[in-house]
Amino acid sequence: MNITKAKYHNSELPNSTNIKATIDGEEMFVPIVDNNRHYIAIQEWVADGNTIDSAD
Amino acid sequence: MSNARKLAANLPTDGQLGNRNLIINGAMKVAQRGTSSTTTNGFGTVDRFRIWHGAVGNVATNQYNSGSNAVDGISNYSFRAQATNTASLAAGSDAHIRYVVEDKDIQNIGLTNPNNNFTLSFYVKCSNAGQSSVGLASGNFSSATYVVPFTIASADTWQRVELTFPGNAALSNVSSGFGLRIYWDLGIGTNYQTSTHNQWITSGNPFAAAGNLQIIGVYDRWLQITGVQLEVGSEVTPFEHEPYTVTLAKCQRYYYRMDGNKTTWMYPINTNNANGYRRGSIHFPVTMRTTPTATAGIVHSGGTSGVDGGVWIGPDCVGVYVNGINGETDYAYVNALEVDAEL
Repeated sequence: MNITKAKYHNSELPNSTNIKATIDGEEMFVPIVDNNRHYIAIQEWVADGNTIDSAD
Repeated sequence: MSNARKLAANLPTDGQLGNRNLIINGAMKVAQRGTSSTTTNGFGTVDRFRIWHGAVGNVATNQYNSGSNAVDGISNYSFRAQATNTASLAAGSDAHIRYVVEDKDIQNIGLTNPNNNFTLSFYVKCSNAGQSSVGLASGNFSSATYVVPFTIASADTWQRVELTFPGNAALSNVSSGFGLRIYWDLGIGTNYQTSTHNQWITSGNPFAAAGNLQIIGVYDRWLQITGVQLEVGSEVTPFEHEPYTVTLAKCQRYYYRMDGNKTTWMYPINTNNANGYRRGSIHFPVTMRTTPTATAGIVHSGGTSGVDGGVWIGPDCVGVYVNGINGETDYAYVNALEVDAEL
């Protein structure tokens, strides 16, 4: 997967945080769940030195 | 002998008589994402089968309808990968088709017992005759691999390949739902090739045979597979058919999309001012493998929209929102949704 952007995101509801990410050119909402393949890829992307931006 | 009598003679008489096939969508009938794709790494067409160009070259994939040239008695459809450019094969490259059996679906094989066998069968057709191979790998990939070469006897001709594998203790190493990985070689470099065949290898992670026919990176070469079946034991049985709706529901455990329905209107909250809210909840037709990644098409006449996370999404449903919307005059609905819990 080619991850170009990742940012924490919430909808103003309590406990609604996920990661709004651009993966392979597509914007998607990735849950913070260990066995979700996109979240696993984001963790690897972070391990490579990248950073998930803070939520607004 | 009548066809019915021939069929009866080939059916298993003991062991598991139904739901034998551990592969979902082995007949390649379900393609929720579309019938053609230029996606080079990922799921582009046929559900559950992933293309990986591995930095070798460009590739087009299709849910290919062979019509009158389809495998007799299996399916009109196959998964086809075709090279669309010419490129060299670097040692560390790895182009392949991959299928992953979920760990929950493979426990009946008893993978870790070397006295147990399991059998993979499939139909293959290729632009060229030559050697190819199937590679198996443990769920975590790194603990054990197994490579079996096979010969494509004639170009542009369907043939069935039947391969039997023993269990191995290292296959206990599943990972994040990955139970067993199956790879069809499309162009795997020397770093991942081996001349050690028909045995489990627990170091180095090779998953293709040396000397295979290269597909991706050689312009216009192609390879098709269909009728993929994985079953307990060493006996190859006829491909197990199932209704399309059954296969579709199985696929929707991993991926679901809703297009253009405009049926999910979002209900208003705080409608008394220009800074109101809309909320919606969309239930999936099948409980998914895990909480999915979501992409939603939310149409609204004001405010900002998105998909909820945290406790507002799970394997069964997803919440969507619009904030800052005029409660009296604006509208909001969801006209597309894509949720992905693939392996």
